[in-house]
Amino acid sequence: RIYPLMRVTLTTSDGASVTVSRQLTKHSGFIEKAITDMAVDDNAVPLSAVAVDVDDATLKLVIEWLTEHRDDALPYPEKTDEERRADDIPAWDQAFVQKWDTKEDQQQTLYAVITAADKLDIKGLLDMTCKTLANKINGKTVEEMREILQLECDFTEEELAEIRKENAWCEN
Amino acid sequence: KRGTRVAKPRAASKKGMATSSSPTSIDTRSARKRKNEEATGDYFPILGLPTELVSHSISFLSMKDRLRVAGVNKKLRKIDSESKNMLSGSTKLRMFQSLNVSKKIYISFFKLIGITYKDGRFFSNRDIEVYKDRTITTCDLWTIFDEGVEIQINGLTYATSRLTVIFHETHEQLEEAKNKNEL
Repeated sequence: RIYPLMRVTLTTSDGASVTVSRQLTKHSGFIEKAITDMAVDDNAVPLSAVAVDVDDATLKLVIEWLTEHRDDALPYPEKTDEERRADDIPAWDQAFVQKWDTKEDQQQTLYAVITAADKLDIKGLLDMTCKTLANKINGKTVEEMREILQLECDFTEEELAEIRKENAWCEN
Repeated sequence: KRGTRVAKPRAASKKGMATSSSPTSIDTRSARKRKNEEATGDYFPILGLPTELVSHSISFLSMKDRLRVAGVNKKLRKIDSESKNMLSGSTKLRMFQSLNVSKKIYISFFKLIGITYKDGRFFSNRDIEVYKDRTITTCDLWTIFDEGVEIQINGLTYATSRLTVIFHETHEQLEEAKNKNEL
């Protein structure tokens, strides 16, 4: 049971403290487990601080996303393979990512938010950011993928010939 | 050999975040292009992420894009082949691949589908077509066509092999696959 006015204080890896509603933190498996483990009275306002291994700047982005998604259904609906796709990111989320995805430090932020979503166990945010990453290489050629992902081809010529042969059925 | 430099994920370096994989080599040949990509935010050193997050990210791609990802480099090929999200619940399965298949398993598999492998030859009561690719010298690649099903087995003479099964939906797709083997 989540009381709308219940608040929890989060302490970040760089020493900041942020107090947020449990309406937001209920989407974080990590925070909810930490609160449960504390075995505190749910009526305590605010609850004891929960330490999160996320820096303040990233946590602010996470909270911004959680605020928009505070009414999302829980538990987070698991997707079947049939439903797994990268092109169904909601418009608000696209705009949210776009705010920092076009900046010079976009990869830092995307990297930070993906890992924060993973650490905090926020499935919706993790899926959205991983889809954003997938969209960077969606429909690209292998060579373009290497450019985007900054990876060198380390296959031998024979291995490459073998891969081309294996993949020929879907490339045509 | 092309010159290389070591790329480290900026997030990890600037924000002190832990990474689970080794630094990623990148090609300097395309440095100019990459600079443009940096400006537009269209690049991402994916192997700076923990393996499970790389796997989760590529799970949202289509099969076609995933096969391309597996052709990028060895690490991504390994991650893709080990992905748990590859086939579970798939309702449009047209191809599956299994790595490190032992001799005992692939012989059982062939037996199950009515094909016998003995002394380097395949036998069946059905009308199957068997091709051996002679263009690959390091390991042997056999392709067997059994009506609309194409079975590839790579590395039969090794301790483990790679088994690939492809279901061709149309006669045209089947003929195209056969023609490639005849070449």
